[in-house]
Amino acid sequence: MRASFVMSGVGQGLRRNVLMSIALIMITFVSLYFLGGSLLTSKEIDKFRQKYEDKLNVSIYLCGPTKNDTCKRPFTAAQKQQLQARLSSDPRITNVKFLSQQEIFKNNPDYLGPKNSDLLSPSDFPNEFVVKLKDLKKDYTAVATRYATAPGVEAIQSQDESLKTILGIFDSSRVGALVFALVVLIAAVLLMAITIQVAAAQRRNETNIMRLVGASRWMTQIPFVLEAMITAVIGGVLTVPALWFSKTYVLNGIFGHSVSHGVLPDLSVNDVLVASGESAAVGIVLAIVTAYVTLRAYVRL
Amino acid sequence: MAPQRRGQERWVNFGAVIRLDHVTKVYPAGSRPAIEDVTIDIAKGEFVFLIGQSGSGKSTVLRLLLREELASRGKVFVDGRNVGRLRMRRIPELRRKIGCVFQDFRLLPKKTAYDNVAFALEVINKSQRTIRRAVPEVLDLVGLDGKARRMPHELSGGEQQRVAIARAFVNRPLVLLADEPTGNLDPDTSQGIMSLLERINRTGTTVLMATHDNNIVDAMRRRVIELDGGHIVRDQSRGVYGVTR
Repeated sequence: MRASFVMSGVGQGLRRNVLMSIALIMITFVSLYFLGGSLLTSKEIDKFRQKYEDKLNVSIYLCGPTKNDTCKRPFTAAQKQQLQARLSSDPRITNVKFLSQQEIFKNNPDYLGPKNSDLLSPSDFPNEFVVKLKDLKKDYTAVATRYATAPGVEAIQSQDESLKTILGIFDSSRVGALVFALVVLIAAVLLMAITIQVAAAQRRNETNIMRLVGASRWMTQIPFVLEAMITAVIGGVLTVPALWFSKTYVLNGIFGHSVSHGVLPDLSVNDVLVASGESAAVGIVLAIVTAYVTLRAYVRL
Repeated sequence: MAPQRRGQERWVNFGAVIRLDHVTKVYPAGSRPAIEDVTIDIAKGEFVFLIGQSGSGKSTVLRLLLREELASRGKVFVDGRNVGRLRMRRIPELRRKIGCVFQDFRLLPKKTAYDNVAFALEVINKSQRTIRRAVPEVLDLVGLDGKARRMPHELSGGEQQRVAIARAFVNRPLVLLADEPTGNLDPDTSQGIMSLLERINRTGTTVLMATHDNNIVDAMRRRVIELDGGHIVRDQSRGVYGVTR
């Protein structure tokens, strides 16, 4: 098969339906952009988990001067010593560290933001034991139940809970982008199928002649399949700058402070290229399958 | 009994290049068969007219030979191959043995005469060298050697039909099927087209031509097969058009 002959036919086909080709490229681009966005968010979630998974601890807050249902009086030195002994001998716990109010205050001078540092004092923070578990997910509930009622303990919190909030935001946006991508992808597939039907109807004379002179089915189909593939490739290529722009706007703009301080991991050019490549691959495969199925089901070639 | 390959009757040598063996074709929406129990044998190199009124089944015969349709009953053979039993991927092979010419020429309007003919070779993966040799040769054969670069709208009806014949013949098919090739042409031009088909026939190509044109049939005095209501009512060598009219 001569590539130049096939490609000149493909070029003619794209030019003949230029507006429809542009519409197809745009809708493919939008669907692949959201798919790529979803993949990129997944990457950010993975990086976030990897960054924090080994560092997650359990905080056991001790009673302060404020009375409540669990705390009638501030913890005593004896209670602290007893608790530390119990924690240290617990086989599920690998490390125990006591953080006083002063230490916590010192470590978090900008807890309410740089401008509000003078609003806080050490007494605003609770004394706590920071405990590292062998397996946070497996043992947290048992450990929390065991020590929640220990004398002098006000509350127990896994840092995993704090992470869940931000991971939840990322996960929701990932799922949202994925759902949107799927809806737009379906629209893209339908538009692709319609475009191929219209193109095949326009070129009925040509394909009839091809059939009658003995062209193989593959030869009659290849221009349509290639046209669909080219629109998917162009849509896929456009997702690269669009995803890079979005990543820069969101991670380096909206969450810029967290990223620059190392709280949130940044995404590299490579991450953007991989996500774009994966979404483009999905687009190209979908285009080929759609073209093939449409031609077999609706168009007599 | 004719020899068979693989015991499947896919390939049978009857000595005929075209054979319809008790063929009936009923279209899904049709109230009666388009053709019924039709048996035809056409030998290599024959020139045969297929005549009959509109709806008599002429086009159905041509469509069955091209495997555009499948017979409801009976068998259709082209060059010894049972057309109905061909696998899908073998159909292009069959069609390369058959050239087709139509009343409405079916040229590609945005291609030159040369490109229209070359198109038939391009899509079956012939080399550029073959195309550069075969296309001018066949355009010369059909009398269009000086008009290769003309677009179809720059050619007369007769010249357009010559391009269509060149396209059908460029791959040197075994059989040329012509469906009312003179239907859109005046008598003089039709005569020229018939001379061309005769010339092609003399190269050994079997020509099966469906027509309404009694003048041509009467003038040519070739084998005539007449269909009426899907049945063969006459099969006459050196026949004329009007015997049963």
